[in-house]
Amino acid sequence: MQFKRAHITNFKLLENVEVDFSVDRARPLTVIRAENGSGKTSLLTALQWGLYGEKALEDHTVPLSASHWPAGTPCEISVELAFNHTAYVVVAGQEHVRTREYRLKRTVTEVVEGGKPRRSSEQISLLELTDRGAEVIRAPRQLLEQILSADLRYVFFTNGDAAMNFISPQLTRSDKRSQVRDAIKALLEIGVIEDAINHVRRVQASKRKETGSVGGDVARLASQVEELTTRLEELESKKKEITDALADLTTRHETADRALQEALQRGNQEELAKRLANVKQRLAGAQKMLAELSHEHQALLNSEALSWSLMDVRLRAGANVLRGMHDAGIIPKTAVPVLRDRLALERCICGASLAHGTPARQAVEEEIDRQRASDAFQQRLTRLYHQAEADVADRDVGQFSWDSRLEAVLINRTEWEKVLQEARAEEESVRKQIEAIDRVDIDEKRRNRMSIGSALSQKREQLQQVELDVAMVGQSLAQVREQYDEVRKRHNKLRRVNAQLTAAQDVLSVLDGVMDELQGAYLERVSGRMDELFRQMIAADTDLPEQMRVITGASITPEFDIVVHAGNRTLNPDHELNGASQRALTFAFIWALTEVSDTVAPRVIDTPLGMMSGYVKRGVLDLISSPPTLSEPDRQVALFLTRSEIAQVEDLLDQRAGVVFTLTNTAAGDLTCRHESDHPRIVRCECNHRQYCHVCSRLDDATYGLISREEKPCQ
Amino acid sequence: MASPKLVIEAIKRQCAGVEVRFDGYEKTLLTTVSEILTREREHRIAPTNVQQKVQDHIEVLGDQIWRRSEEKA
Repeated sequence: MQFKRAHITNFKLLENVEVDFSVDRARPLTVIRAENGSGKTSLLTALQWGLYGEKALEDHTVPLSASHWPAGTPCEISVELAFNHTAYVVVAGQEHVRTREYRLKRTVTEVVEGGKPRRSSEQISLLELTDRGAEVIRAPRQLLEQILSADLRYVFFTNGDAAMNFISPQLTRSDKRSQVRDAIKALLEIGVIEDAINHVRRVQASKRKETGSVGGDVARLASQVEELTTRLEELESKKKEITDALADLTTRHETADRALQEALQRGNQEELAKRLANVKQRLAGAQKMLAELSHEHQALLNSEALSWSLMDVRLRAGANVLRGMHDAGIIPKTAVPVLRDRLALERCICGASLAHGTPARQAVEEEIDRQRASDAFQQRLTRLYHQAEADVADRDVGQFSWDSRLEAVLINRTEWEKVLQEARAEEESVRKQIEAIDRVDIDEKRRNRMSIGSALSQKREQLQQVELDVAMVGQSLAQVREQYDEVRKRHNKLRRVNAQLTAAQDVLSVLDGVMDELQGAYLERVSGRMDELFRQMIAADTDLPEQMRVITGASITPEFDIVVHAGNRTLNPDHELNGASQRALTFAFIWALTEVSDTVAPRVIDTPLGMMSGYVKRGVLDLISSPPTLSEPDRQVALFLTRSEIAQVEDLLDQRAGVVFTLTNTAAGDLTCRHESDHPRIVRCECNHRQYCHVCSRLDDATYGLISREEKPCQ
Repeated sequence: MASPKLVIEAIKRQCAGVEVRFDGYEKTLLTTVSEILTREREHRIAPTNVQQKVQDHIEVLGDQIWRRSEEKA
């Protein structure tokens, strides 16, 4: 299928918009430049609605007409689509290829009341344009479904922001597998083949019954084949159920295990208790040291050494005066004892008599009285002299070095205070960690994991058992079939029915073989091609040695999981890829699927390059816009891009785009020129990705280096 | 919907591996299987009595096998 053009009328703000598509094989890209709110999503929906009608609408309660359309007034909405389709048919064993041209028009009338739409039945007309003129197709829906099934619309019509159905973390593992499996099944027609196999098996069963109506061994064996076939189908179905349940349990077990590990990492209780005891000990030691230092500090402030420290100069001066008095003989006083001795002897040193009553004795007694009066004072001075001599001698040997002792005490106090603070901080931290451990929570998580683990083991055992049963029943069936075929050959009456049974078996064998090819070989091809495309898109450091690369590739497992490889590890694309790489992976999968299935249909993507920049943006655009090789069928890609998506890839668009134009919402707030209109609508201009004009010019066009396509100024 | 070309190529390969019942059996078998798949596709779009149609195709093929084998005998 290849779009040629579309005309949209009254679909949201697409009041009267014509859309062309490139049909140039060498330049297969159509670029529709439109900023946010300029009709991209509406256009994507309109094209799908044109092909599939209501089935294409996400929400049937949302009106298709524009919000400014008067309530209660009928609005005729239509999409016209001109397209080609090439069909391959087999007639009498010969393949025939034919390309036909069609015109499709879908119309509906909508009335909106109270915000709710009421729509008439859709009118659809499909014409084939032949040499004889336009021929009406009587069953347009059937033909459209054959050309491009509605089940595949999300593969061919993609909203870039929502292009994550296959790797979205919101979906369960088995949902994602189902999405991938269903996409592959739909594109490779596996569902059609499965149905055909079932119907042929029923024909086979009915023919066996016919052979069985003859009686005897044939009937018995026919019945056994039938029973065993039914049993095998039941077991296969059960196996699939168990496999799906196993996948879910595995995911739940991984989640439970992760939750338990996180809870355990928050703290090991025993270790923390030891640390707490240790830190308390250090705290006590520091407090004790600080108390001792505080006493020492107080003692220093009370000590004699402080006096000496403050009055050193004056005390030394006083000691010097006392020494001078001593050296001058003023102290100590010794005259009184000598005079007393002389009085006792009644003879002076000079020989004069000191007998009682003599004037000399009286003079000596008066001298003794005078000396006694000043003696107390002398004694005190003498004592002071001796004390001063001793103190000065002590100070000089350093016993009273108060300054250095004070300095030492202060330094020690500072250090121990620091130790105390650190110990307190550590105690606080350890206590908080202990509080964070929720013992009950850990036990609960452990029980949960065990319970799921137990269910997982049981499920695995069930799977093993069912696989064994499948193998045994399969073997029995093969043996019984052999016997049955042998008996049939011998019976003449059954020749015609036997021939029909042979035909059924041959058809079944062909269909089974096609199914195996599609599911096996094609799945591998899709996986391989997805890997190539993904690595190209993200430029997976192919120049670096293997061990230096972060991402080394992607694949689809036989269980339909999409996985990303990083060296020896498998990454979970839900959580371990950035947004740009997740999108690139989704596009790589869709592209690989459509390429391998050889499906020729337009790929329309809204905002494919959002969240991308640099080499990933370039890589993705390069791949999805590349023209087909000589051996490949025609390709058609339509991208709806904003200015920022186009930035830095203009050169690629120059090379690949066969058609480029711009859509603008006349009510956009950042337009340079005002549009005269009583209501907003989407209008088209012929500006390409490097241009602007009075219709589409925006305030930030200079940022993108756009040039004017015309000389007409804003009005 | 795979390119019918893709499915047809796969059917051709499988038909080549089936025992030849008569001259031209491979092509006849290819046509029969292709027709059956076409009936299945039609049935998916609009309900038909697809089981009977499949049976009809198989009986036609079977009858050809029977007639050719009777002629040989």
